[in-house]
Amino acid sequence: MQKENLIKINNYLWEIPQSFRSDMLVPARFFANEKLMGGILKDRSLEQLINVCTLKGIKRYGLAMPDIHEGYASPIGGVAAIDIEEGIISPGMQGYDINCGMRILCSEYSEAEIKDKISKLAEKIYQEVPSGLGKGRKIKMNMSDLDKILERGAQKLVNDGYGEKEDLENCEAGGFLENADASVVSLLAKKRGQNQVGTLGSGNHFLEIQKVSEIYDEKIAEIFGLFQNQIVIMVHTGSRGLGHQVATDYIKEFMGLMDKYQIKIPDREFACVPFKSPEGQRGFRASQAAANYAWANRQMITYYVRKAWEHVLGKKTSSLKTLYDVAHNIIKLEKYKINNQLIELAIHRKGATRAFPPHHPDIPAKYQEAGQPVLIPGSMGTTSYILHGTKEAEQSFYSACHGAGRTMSRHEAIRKVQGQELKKAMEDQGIIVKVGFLSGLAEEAPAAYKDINEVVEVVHQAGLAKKVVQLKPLAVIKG
Amino acid sequence: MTHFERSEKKGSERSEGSYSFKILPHPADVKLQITASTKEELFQGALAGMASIISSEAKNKVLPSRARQVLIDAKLSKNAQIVKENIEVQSLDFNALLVDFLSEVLAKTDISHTVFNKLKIKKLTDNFLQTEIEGQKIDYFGQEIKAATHHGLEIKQDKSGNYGVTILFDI
Repeated sequence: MQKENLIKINNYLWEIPQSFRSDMLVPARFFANEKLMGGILKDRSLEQLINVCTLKGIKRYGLAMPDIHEGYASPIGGVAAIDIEEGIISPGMQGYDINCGMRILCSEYSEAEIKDKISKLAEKIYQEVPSGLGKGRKIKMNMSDLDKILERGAQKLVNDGYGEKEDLENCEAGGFLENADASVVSLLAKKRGQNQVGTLGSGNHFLEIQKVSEIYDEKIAEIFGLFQNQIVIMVHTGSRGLGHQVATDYIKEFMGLMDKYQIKIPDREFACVPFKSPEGQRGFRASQAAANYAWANRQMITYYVRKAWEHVLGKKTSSLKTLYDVAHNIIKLEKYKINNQLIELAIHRKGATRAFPPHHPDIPAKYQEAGQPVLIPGSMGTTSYILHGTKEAEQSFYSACHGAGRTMSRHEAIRKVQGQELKKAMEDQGIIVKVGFLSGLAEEAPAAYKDINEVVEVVHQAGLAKKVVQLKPLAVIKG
Repeated sequence: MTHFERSEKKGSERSEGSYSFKILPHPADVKLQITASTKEELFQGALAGMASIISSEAKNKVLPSRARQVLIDAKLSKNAQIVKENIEVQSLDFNALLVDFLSEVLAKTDISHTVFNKLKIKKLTDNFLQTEIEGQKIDYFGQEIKAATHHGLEIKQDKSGNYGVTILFDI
């Protein structure tokens, strides 16, 4: 892709016109500034974004967030809004890690109050929350309980005593999607999920103990319950092997149905069927069930983090409160005005965070004035951000970035960055590092990612979400 | 060298019998390039290459003092438990068959905590595979693979009759 082929809409928004390729059904739009543009043009991410624009039923634009980078099928950072009456459902347009997402837990402590306990807390959390690279959790869940998790997500665990009502109030969709159906999730997927509720996973999944390092919007920070130097805990994980299997199962099934439905796609990973077809509906209900599993996973991790918190800080300490929990790989039904008609769309987000505005009916009552908390992790050991949703984000179907976005392959990072040196460099900055594998640390090195500050600045300036606070890591825990 | 060792140099190539594989860079994921003299060897090479990705980083273990992480080195001890499983895969075509086979192996890897690196093919057509796979239990994976993808995958045969393919793994 050459820059000459792009139309500059404004300083933060670019368009590839529909005329660029004959199979595009809508133009492509992506958010970036000049600085990020160099990296975006280097890989195949814009070609992949153009492919998104060929999906049947896509409305307005194929979209990408400023952390866009090359993936498979859609680029990471891609958003496709598909008309459910005339369009398709594509598991590859949400990715294999269904409902990979973020949760932030807030403490009532400032850094100064518990500084001497952070190391012990990190060690205890590391012990309590397995990465899952090993044997998962020791106890296998029975199939009946697993089915309940698939249909009721985090709510099932809260009802069983693994959390508080407020955890559900402050979770996207209240912790579960009602369209989920455990009966359309394969036995193989369920077997993979039996001992992984409460596990972190590898790759870019992590837990961090962080502090609020800068406040940009005092009023909204207060609504979110955030204050300067406050200790918070960030959780990044998804639906683990169960979700991977659900995506694998339906991509395989849909690939075999493409001829039947006479659908043409530029990349097999987009395998899709009409949303309203019987197969499409099954795939959708399975995807929603996997999303519920992910919310249960983050809920169970919350339970173990709280256990570690109480162990280190004492039983009388105030509990960690869930600020918010939001997915960045998901297919959701949302209503938007298209040509002055309110229609239901299947919003496919692959590496994009939902960012609902103030007064949206689907966000908690206490955030009605502020808009939804938008949780954006930086790369390991760098800053993260909490933003709030805005009305202006309607242009991106209320979506923002999901992180910094990679610029270097994992293996190049492992080759270029010595895990031990990186660990030392982070420790020299006062960051405690609890990691299972040094190579796992190296592949997530900050040098392998775009500058999170730059990416978030584009989100802020483009109005997709507005900055509330910046977070700095005090301890990094990963598999 | 065992199947479980892999050089981490960019584009490094390993050869095993009549197949070879190498890891190629990708911005977010991992690409595995395999060449083989027969279709059967292509499947063996893909399996060995995937096993290499799953297990290789395990040698970079840290925190050996952690009691719950008794890590058996990726080279595997003589006492490691051998696991055999049967797989039957029916697919759309030969390209999909390779991905579907690796997907089946990944599921079994996840469930039984076994790194599979050998196979005995009983039947292989352009859209059907019946095989036994063999591997060894490990306590810790080095790299979790989320999925083998169909992205840009095309098995090609060169002028000398060798097969070649590049597989993108979501990690």
